[in-house]
Amino acid sequence: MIARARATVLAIAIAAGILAGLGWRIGLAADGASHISGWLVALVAAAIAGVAGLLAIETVRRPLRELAASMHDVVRDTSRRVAVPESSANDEARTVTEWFNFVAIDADQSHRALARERVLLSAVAEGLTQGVIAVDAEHRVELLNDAARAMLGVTSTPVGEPLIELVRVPELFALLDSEQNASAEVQLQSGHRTLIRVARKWGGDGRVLLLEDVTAMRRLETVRRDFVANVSHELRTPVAVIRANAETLLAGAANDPVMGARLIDGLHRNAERLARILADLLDLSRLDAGQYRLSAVPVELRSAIDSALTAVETKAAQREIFVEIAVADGLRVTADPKALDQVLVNLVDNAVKYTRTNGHVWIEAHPDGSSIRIEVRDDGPGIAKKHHERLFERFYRADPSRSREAGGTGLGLSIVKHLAESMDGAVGVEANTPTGSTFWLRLPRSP
Amino acid sequence: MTAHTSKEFDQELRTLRERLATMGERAGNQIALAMRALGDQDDEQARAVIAGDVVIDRDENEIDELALQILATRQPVASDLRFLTMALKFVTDLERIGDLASGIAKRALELNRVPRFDSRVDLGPLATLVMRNLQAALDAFVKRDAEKAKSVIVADVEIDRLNASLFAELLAHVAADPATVTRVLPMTSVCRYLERAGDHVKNLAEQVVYMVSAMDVRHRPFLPHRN
Repeated sequence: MIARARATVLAIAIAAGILAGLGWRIGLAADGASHISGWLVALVAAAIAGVAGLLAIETVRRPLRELAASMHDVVRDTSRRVAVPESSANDEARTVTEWFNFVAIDADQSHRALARERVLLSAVAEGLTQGVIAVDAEHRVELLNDAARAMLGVTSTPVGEPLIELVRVPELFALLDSEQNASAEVQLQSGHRTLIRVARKWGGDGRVLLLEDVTAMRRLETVRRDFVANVSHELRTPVAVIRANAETLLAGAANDPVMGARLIDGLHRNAERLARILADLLDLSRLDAGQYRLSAVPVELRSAIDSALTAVETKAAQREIFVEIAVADGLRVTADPKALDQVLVNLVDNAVKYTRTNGHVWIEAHPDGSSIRIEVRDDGPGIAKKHHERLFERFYRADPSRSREAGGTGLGLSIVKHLAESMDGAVGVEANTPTGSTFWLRLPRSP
Repeated sequence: MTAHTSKEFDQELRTLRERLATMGERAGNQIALAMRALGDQDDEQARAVIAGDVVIDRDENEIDELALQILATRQPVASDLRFLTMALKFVTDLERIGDLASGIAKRALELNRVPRFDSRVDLGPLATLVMRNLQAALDAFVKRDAEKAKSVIVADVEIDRLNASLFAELLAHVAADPATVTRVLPMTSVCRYLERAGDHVKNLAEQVVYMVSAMDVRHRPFLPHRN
C-alpha cells in the first residue's frame, strides 16, 4: 500500500515537474530566454513535490508500522494489548487500535473459556473408569481416554487417526454403523469382558462410544447363580434320602431287621453329611465376618505336615497311594496351628482322594523369599485349566459326579482359601506335568 | 465426480476397509479360541468356534457384495481399483483362515475323545506365530504399510520351519509307540491347518504390497519363499 502510494507520489512529482517546466518554457519562449533554466525550474518543482509527497506518506506509514508490530505481539500472546502508536495520538490509527483491542479481549476471553472447558473435559474423561472414545463422521479419533486405551491395548495418543488403525473389534464397528443408540457385550483380546454402548454425538455426525468393563460383575453373577444352584443341590440330596428313609421306616420297614438297620444307617450318614455341610458353611461365614480369631505363631512345618498326614493315612493305605514328603527339618512358618492343620489335611486329603489307585502324592516345601511355598502334587487325571480359577469358590465342582462320590461337601477348598488368606498367605492350583494337579500354599516364613 | 458423490464413494471405501479389517480380527479370534479349546480340552469352547464360522461366512458374502457394488456403480481407477480387486481376494483368504480355525476346533473335539500320552510337543508357539503374523498383516493393511507387509511375507518362512520340526517330533512319537497314532494324527492335522493359515496370511500381505505399491510380489524369488 505504502509502496504503491510512493510510486504514485513519484509519478505525480515528475508530471508536476514536467508541467511546471513546460509552462515556464512556454512563458519564456516568448521572451527568448534560455531553455536550460526552464528545465532546471522543472526539476526543482518536481523535487519539491516529490519530497512533500514522501513526507506525507511517512506520517501515515509510521503509525501503521507501529500498529502492525503491536498486533503481531498480540497474536503471539493473547494477554497483551495493542498500544496506541506514539506517532499518532488522536486520529484514525487510534480508532483502529481501540477496535482491534476490543476484538482481541473478546477473543482472549473465548480462548480462556475454551481452554477451561477442554481441561475440565479431559479431566473428567481421564478420571472415568469407563472407556470413552469419540469419533467424527469419518471415524477419526477425537478423544480416547486412559480407560479405553487400557481396555483396547492402545499405547499412543491417536487424535485425528482413523479408529480402524488402532482397534479392529468387529462389534465396535458394527455399533458405529448402527443408527440408533445400541450396545453389545464383547470379550476383548485383553481378556476384559466389555459392554460397549454407542451414542450419537450432539451437534455433529460423529459418535461417542462408552466401554464398561463388566468382567468382575459377570463373574460375580455366575458365582452367585452357581452358589444358589449348588447349595440347594447339596442340601437337597441328603434331605431327600432322610425323608425317603424316614417314610419307609414309618410305613413299617422299622420292623424289618435287615432293611430297618440299613435305612437307619442311611438316615445317620445323611444327617452327618448335612451337619458337616452346615458346620463348614458356619466356618465360612465366620471367616467372612472376621469372627474367626487366628493366632500367628511360629510352627515347625515338618511336624505339622506329619500330623496332618495321620488324618489321611488310612485312606491312602486303602487306595495304595504312595505319599512322599520332601520337607527339610527346621523350616518354620508363621501360622495358626489349628488353621494350618485344617488347610494341610484338606489339601492332602484331596490329593489322596482324587489321584488314581496306586498313584503318588508328593508334599514339598521350599523357602521363597520371605515366605515358604508348600506344594501338594499328585499324578491323578488332573483338573482342566478352565476350572482352575473357580475351584476355590463355594460348592464349585470341576467334576460333580466324581467329587460327590468322593464324599466332599464342596466347601473344603473355599475354607482353605479363606484360612490361608487370614494367615497372610495364599493358595492356588496349577497343572502338574505330565499329569495331575499341584496345589500350592504360601505362608510367611518364620525366623 | 461431484463433491457429494465423491464423499459417498469415500465412505463406501472406508466401510469396506473397516469390514475387511474387522473380519480379519474375527478370523484371528477364531484361531485363538480354537487353540484355547485345544489347550483346555474344552468341548464347549470348540463347539462355539465351529458355530462361530457362520459369522465369518456371512462377512465374506457381505464384503464381496459391497466390493462388487462399488465396482459396478463407481467404476474406480488406479489405486481405488487396486484396493477393490485386492478386497475380493483378501476376503477369500480370511474366510479360509476362519475355516481352518473351525478345523482346529473339530480336531480338538476328537483329541478329547482319545487317550492322552506324555508328550512335550507344544503347538502353542506355532499358533502364536501365525496369530502374530496375521495381526501384523492386518496392521499393514489398515496403515497401508508395504514394508510391514513385506516383513510378514519373510516371517512365513519361520512358520514353515516350525511346522516341519513339530511334524517330525510328532512322527517320532508314533515311531516310538504306534499306539499314540490316534492322538498324533489329529495333532499333525492341527499343525497343517496352522501352517496353511500362515500361507493365507502371507497371501494377505502380498495383496497389501500390491495395493500400496502396485507391485506384484507373488511368486517372486527375491523374497524368501516356501518350497
